[in-house]
Amino acid sequence: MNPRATHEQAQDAAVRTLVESAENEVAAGELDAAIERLNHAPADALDAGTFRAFLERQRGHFEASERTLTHLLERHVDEPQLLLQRAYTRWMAGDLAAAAADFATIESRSNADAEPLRIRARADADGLRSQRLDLDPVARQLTMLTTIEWGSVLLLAGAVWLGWRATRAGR
Amino acid sequence: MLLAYWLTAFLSGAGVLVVEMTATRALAPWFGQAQFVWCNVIGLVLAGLAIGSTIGGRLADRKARPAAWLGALLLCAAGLIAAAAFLPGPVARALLPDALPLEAAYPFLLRGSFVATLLCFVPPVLLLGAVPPFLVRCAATRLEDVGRKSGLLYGSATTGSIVGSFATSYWLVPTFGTRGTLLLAAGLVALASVPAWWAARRQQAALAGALIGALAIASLSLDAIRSATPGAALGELVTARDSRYQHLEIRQRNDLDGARVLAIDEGHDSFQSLTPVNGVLTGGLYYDYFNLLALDAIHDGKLAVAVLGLGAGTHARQLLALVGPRCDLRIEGVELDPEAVALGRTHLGLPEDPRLVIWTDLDARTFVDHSRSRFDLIIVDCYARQSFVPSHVASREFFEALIERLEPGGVVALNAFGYGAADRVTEALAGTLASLFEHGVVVATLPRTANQIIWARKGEPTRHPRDWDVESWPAELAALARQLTAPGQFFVRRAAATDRVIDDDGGWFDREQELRLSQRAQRLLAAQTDSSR
Repeated sequence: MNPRATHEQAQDAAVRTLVESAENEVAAGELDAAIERLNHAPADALDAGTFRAFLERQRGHFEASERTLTHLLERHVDEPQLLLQRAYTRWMAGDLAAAAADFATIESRSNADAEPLRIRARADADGLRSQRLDLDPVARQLTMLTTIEWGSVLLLAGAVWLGWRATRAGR
Repeated sequence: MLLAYWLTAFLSGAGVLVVEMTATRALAPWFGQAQFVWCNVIGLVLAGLAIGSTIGGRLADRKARPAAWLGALLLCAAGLIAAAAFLPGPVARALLPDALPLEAAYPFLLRGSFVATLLCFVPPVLLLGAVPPFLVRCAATRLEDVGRKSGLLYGSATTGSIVGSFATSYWLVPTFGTRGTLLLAAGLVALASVPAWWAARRQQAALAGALIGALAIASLSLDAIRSATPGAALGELVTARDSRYQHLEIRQRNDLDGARVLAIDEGHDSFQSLTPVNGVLTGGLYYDYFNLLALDAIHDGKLAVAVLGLGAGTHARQLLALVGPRCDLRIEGVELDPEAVALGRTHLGLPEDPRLVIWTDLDARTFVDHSRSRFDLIIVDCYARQSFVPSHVASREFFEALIERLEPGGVVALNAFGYGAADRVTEALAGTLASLFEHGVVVATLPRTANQIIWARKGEPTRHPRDWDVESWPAELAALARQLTAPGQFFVRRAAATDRVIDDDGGWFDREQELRLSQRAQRLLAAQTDSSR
């Protein structure tokens, strides 16, 4: 009997128990308790970590969700499922550029197993792109608004100064 | 002659306040009526008056014919006020991008309203600010009576301002619209120039002033002048109105399969009520989910519902069509603006129905404090400025009064707009409500929207979506209910010691809402600017 394998099996069973308990808590609406429970899983446990990140996102804790996924990605480099989850989290948090980067990484995967995820990522990336395209003219217009804002303040200040000078000249 | 100058002071004083109060309403279809818009308008108008008064005082001392200068100032101010009646639209269109999403709108509303006020309304006010010193110079011929006459003139101008402010809110804007009100102000200021021209012995100029004033006032008889100006809301315009509370539009939205919506003030891509082309459900928008709570709240075949923030009646229309056939239904709807309800009746299919009683010109808080009815379900959907919850309808005191209006086992349900369920505003609302319900509240995140529904049951544990008996419900509503049973889609939230409860002195809650909008827009646009570099 390999003691290391036995230890890993015991650890897997413990994580499965944690995930099952968390699932029951989620079903009863105890989301915070489920997240807290999953915090006790080993940091590199893929299933428990992914589930926790998903619940954190659902709970609205986008920063915590992104942190969990980024941490997992350090151990499971470029795992497409994790990248996809992180893209959704970043999108919901309003960080569109970072979300687009994750989608692009998934799309660049050549692994055949990841094909369904690539298709899904491509569709979502299209949706994100259209949102970003919509915002492009908005960002440009904001720059123009700043120019107009300062321009009109200077114009008014100039008019006041001229008025002031005119009254002095009339003295 | 003093009486004539007294009248001039009165009319110019009225003109300043009419312009100031109408400015916010004239900008509302593009920039809304947030406190910062009021702040920009009042601050810049006062700055204009201060500058005008300072320069006017210096000029008045130095001009040999002050009466002629006074006439010219008033006539120019009248011309600029008339221009201001038509300027906000073109100026706003130049400042705002097409199809501005609400999420990114905050900096445009804040800074755009500043620039638009500066360009449209400060120039006439600057000239009107110069009027009082000239009036004093014209009226006071001896040093000994300067105090008495200047006091009389300033008193008259202030009286004019008081009349202008009351008349604008209660009569002028609802009757003549913002454009008509500004033209009326231009006409009155032009007429105010007549005594000055007369005193300067410039009869032709006096006649011109009288004619211009009369023409401006006569233009109010034109429908095109009185009609509301369409604003920045998304979609094809069906009709626009200015009520005494706000600017309202019915738009047809092709991006929502041709549905008609009620958009208020700046609108942008946001709306307050919606009627789809077919059926009553809105394709998964938050309105649809409140029907699930109504079905679950039916008690002994009866259901009494209050809808606070009725708008043009989407909730009521859905309840009558979907829940009404399954029980003895009674609905009381509360909506501050009667024009919203009128537009709902004429354009959004809100039916006249004996089961539906609508209260208008009544704030939700006032209704809750004074109503004697009791309800099985109270829907709270009270929003201002698209996504802003006024703190007096989100406070602990408000919810305490609301609980008094609930039957035992009755449910209170809030529509909470927020970027995720941990959004600070959503958390504050959920925490405040949870502080009053020992079993906590249920928060459901609605799929594909930025809305959550928060609900709680009086005196009993709150039933969540997995407790609902959806098998007996209409198929389309059962399908919606099943969406909410997906993992993590809802959760129970209990009061926590760290919760900051909203009270009637809810300044911090208002600030949180401002910060949320500002930070979201900043984040979206900063990422955009970075990536386009």
